[in-house]
Amino acid sequence: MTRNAHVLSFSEFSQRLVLEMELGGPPSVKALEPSTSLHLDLGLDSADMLELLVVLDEFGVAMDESVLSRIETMGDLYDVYAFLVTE
Amino acid sequence: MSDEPKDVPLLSRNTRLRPVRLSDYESLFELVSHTEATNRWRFRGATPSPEDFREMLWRGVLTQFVICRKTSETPIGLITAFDVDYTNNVVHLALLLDRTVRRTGWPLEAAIVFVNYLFEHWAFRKIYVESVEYAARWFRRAATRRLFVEEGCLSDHEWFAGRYWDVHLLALHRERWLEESGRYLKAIAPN
Repeated sequence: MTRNAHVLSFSEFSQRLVLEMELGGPPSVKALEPSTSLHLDLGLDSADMLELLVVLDEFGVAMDESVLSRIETMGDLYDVYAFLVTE
Repeated sequence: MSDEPKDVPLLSRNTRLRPVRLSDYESLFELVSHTEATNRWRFRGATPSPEDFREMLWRGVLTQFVICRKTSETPIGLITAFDVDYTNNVVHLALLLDRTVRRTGWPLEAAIVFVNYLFEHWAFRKIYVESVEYAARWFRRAATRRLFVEEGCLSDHEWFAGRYWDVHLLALHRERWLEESGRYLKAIAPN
């Protein structure tokens, strides 16, 4: 985690996530909103969530399980990312 | 000396692998006996008695560890290497996770740690995972990503819930692991 790190906007963040995690290409990007559920809407399973940890690490963010367990939506995820990347 | 071997960690950011203790059998029996796990895990629907369970848990096993949270001793899973074939340097892997943590992803850190342990301690060429069609979708998703590759499919092989299901044989090759493990091990490294 780096102070003064560039914080991606929600749109940039979700687009990069789609790209890195191969979540289905451009059509999915339009559908990603803060209320989008990681599990119910995107169908992310445990392997996807592990891949998400790896991608977030590449964004400069590491999450503990107490945080991960509370993340349900893209908005939750982005909020935690934005907080941790500037911490 | 710089060429001294390093210890292979059994710890990740959120998980810890530890040896199975006598006091774990009751918790592990509960984990294995849960309906969903019973159908999917190594016993495939069999429900051994608590007495037989201890023996069956170690049948054909090369090595296995209890999976815990980093800060707790309570088992949340079990990871096992079994049916080792030293002639061909291959081994099978099985993973059992408590259903309450299965979806969250972080328990799979333990699988990464364990695979690293296997490849560091033995000269295995491949680690196999069997994945029944109706279960363990994440293994097949993993197969399409960076780690596992599907090497075979036994069609209509396994009976469950009124029909036969395909069984997929997935393999993680040492070469693939060496190429890809760095990003996984970095991301799950203990802080």
